Amino acid sequence: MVDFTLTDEQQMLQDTARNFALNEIKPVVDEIKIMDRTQFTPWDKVKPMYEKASELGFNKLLIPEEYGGMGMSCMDNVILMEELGAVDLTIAASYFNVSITSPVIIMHGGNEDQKKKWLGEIVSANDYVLASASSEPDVAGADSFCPFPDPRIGLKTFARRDGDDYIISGSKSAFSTNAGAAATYFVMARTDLSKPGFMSTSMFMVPAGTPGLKVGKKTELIGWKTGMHAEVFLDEVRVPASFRIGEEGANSGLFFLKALPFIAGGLAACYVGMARAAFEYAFEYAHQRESWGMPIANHQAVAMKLSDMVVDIEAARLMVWKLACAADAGDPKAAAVMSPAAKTFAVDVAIRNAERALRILGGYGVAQEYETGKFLNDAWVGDSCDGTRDMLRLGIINFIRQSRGKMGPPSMGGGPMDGPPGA
Amino acid sequence: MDVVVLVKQVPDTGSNLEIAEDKKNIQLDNIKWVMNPYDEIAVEAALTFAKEKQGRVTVVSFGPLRSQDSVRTALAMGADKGILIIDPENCRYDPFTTAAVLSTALQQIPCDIIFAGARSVDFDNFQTGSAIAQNLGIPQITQVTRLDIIENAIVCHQITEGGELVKQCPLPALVTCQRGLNEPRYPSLPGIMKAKKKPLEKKELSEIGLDAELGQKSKIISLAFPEERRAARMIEGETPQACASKLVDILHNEVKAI
Repeated sequence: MVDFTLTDEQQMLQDTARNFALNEIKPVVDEIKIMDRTQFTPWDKVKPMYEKASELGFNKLLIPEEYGGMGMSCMDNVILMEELGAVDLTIAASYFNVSITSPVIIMHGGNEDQKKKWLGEIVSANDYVLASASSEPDVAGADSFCPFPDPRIGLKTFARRDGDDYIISGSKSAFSTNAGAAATYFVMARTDLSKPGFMSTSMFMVPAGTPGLKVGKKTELIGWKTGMHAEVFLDEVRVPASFRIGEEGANSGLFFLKALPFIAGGLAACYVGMARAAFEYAFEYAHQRESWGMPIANHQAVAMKLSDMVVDIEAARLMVWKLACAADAGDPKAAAVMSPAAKTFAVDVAIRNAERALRILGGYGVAQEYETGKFLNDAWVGDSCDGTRDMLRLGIINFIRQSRGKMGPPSMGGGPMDGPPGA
Repeated sequence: MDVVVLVKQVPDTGSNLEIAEDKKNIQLDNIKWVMNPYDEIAVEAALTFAKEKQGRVTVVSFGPLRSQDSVRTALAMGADKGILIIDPENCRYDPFTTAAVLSTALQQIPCDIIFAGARSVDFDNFQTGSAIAQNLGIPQITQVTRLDIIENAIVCHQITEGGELVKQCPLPALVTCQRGLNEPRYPSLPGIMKAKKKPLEKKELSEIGLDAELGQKSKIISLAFPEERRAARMIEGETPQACASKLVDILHNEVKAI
């Protein structure tokens, strides 16, 4: 039986998350908003709040109890993320979601020693943020999804085996999330440049402060102003072979099948939260602002927009919750179809609702002091992060075509990439 | 040390309140119910006190079944045990009767100190805590903004208009908690997960030896919203003198204030 009723614990989690976001995150966002962006590092402002959240257990939500975590579910995480995302998409999606969901890679790909080491580190430090360093400046993000067995396509960062160590060299793009804030970087690197990317990419844990690891200039995005993004340079970075998660060259399957639904589900939930915040903002305005002697919400052109916003939020949340349930049940379809579908649709909805809010506010919608510009810019950053909406859509249909024998093997992000070129 | 905290479930102050058809209560549908914010302060005070004195915290509430959510929230914040006395009348009792029920329940459990909110944000009577202390014959200090523990006694600060009182009383005692005493903690994720496993007793009035026909000292005759404030009326005139003259005219002849 399908049941969307939250458990008592989930309702309490939702209340705690909502209150925490309003009382603890909102003041940080408001403070950062009025600061000179060249004079400060967002993480310095965010960190005390993040530590407080960690004391409540947010940071270890998904980590199993035997490793000191909460052992909670993907569904619990999407409930948390929607509430945090409704106050600030960026803080929710970057510091929280990346740090909460990336450990799933270790939970599924790490051996017992690795789980003890890394999960233990994460649960024992309240400011332990993780960063993902995968995409590269001269490599298209989509190359990571390329099924063609051409070794020239794919990441250029290279990890050379040297006895019991790897020596990693390369540079990661200016969009590395949490760069400069993170305690540890998930670094994707090739271990054999003569093999295609999907057979030669591995994931390494590289602690901040490892000699040779440098974070470049902070990248200014059009939105996500509370976040930290920067280039990451790796110059002969030496790490023990035990810092490689999973088999050498096995990153793709590991990432897609196990971790993706958790990461994408959390990210999509943040966007549902933002879409909801845009609605709430426009709804309030539409009842205060008057034209022709009545609140503009009484005009059908405005009322219909508000209604469309609700319809979109409801639909996007359903997709996120379905994905979360599938992830918790270990359904393999969660990765191939539901993850990209939920993420791309939630971003579609966030962009649409930001635009609707902006139009409802009319002239004030484009004024800096109103929130609508922030909604729109934050929403559009989602278009490209963790796979563009186009790439994700291609992935969905290619997977479906392939699984029905309508085209060659998996292509363009549609699933584990271990076959010959697509049709 | 046995620490008791009293909690009440109230409508979230952000809820859209409507008066019911009988004009004696609010409409109870579509309300988000939360723990009375002053009781959150009381729970925090109880937990802090219990930690210092290695005590255990029991949450006690009198309310309809839905109130168990607020008791559970207090358990998630860290209290050890909950007792809900089921209110068959859905919060229609006055503070006198509420205090009588809670006093009866409290006589049946050990308590060295009782914490309550200074007021509840629904009917705002400021009475229940005080009436319980009276019924139990124990000292009380109300509207406390700071609390220090000394050997078998407490020292509390109470803000008055333009001043501050510092009062001391022996235990057992009852304290009502005012804003400023502390910042209530959020229920943590471990707290939330543990809350369901903690004991929560639900008792009918008959189980604590009371009759359902409790009677009360006062009852609500009618409820009304305050009148909406009228928009300001702007007085226009060529000069300040002309405006002042018009104002005096209005105040004298229309409003009859001068």
